[in-house]
Amino acid sequence: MKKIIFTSFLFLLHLHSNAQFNFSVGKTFYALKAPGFQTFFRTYDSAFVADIKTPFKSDFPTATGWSIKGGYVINKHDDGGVGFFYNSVTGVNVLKTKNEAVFLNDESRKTELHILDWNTDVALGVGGDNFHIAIIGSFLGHFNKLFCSYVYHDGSESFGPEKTLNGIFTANRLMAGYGAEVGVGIKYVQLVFKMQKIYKPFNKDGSTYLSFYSDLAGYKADAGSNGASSYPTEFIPANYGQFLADQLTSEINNNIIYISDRGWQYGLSLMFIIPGKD
Amino acid sequence: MKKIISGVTVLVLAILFFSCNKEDHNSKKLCRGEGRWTVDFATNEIYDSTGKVIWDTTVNNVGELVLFRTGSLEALYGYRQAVFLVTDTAGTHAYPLEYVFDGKRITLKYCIAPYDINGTYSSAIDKKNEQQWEIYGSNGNTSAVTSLTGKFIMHLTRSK
Repeated sequence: MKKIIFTSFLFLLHLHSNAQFNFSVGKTFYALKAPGFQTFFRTYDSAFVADIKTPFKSDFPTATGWSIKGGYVINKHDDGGVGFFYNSVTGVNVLKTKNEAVFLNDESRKTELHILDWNTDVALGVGGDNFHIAIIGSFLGHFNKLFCSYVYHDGSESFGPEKTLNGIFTANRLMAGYGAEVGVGIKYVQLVFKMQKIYKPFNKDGSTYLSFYSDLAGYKADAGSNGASSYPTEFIPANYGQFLADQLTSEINNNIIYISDRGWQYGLSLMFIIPGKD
Repeated sequence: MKKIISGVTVLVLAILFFSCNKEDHNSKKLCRGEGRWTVDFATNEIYDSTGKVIWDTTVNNVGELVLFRTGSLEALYGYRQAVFLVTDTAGTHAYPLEYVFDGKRITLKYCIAPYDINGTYSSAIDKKNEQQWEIYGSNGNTSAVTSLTGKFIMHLTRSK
């Protein structure tokens, strides 16, 4: 029912406003810094220093992906002149990045971070027939998923319980961003370059419910309830050395990773403006 | 005319945005259709320290796995109901079980069929009409660097 109401709202808004509908598709880059994972990568490399051929990079490399967005643009100006520009879009960014440590026996620990951002951007600035420049602010529903696997020498990628860290760990959080965008093109098609800083808008130390990486797969709960001293972990530890020393109290000691990534997001997209009222 | 085109575009995009069923997103390939899968073969391999196969055995036509979308008693963890059909000289026997699939892992449990298929598998092939699930064995500590010592492979194709 909510979907129907929202769709109807969009449709009616479109019919009864001077705004023009637009949608855009493009490439997105996210130069992220993830302090929790930095600690994990460093301590993991230290724990296996004698066995590692290629250690983890100190942080995740720049995440790359695509975006698709749609919304409304108001570009009020005289012919050939410059005027008020407003753009409000909602859509998704889908991003991926990975980091891998390779051992001397050619097996590896692989961490692949998938980021899905449901975001709403509002841009405010000036524009003309063929260009616009604006500052932007946005809110992002940040849905992260860490695929943590062990790759054997024959290329088999295991997510199974035979390795403690294997799993699919998810964490969600509301994030915010601010930045600027520039668009150039012909009247109804513009090439838009956007850059914005992504940050945590409140409770910056973390500790928000469900904002830490957890894998609550049923088989892990089953294994954990039998009192074993080592079983597939439900949480990715920040400090791997501490985790190895005592897995059972690691979580209690807050040795877990919260969503803490932040950094600059860059996007290059094509914006198509669909003419509304003449 | 322009208004009609843009209005239709709004509707189409809105429908596209909201038409995905989030609940079934991960198991789209596995569960699409009727969910009947033939277990063509199951292979067990043991390796030496260099990765060479030193022992293996294969069972063909293991049975048929019928996967339902209906949640099981452990639906809290995403488990759904399934039946494993095994045919022998006495006829076809049905063994109920539970399964969960999250795109990378498949867990089967509570199956009491003569051929043990319980366990948590990694998905090696995840296609609309073909699946391959694997369980890996490694020696030593679960947190240490160890070599692959064995592999159990189950290959499935969608039943016709």
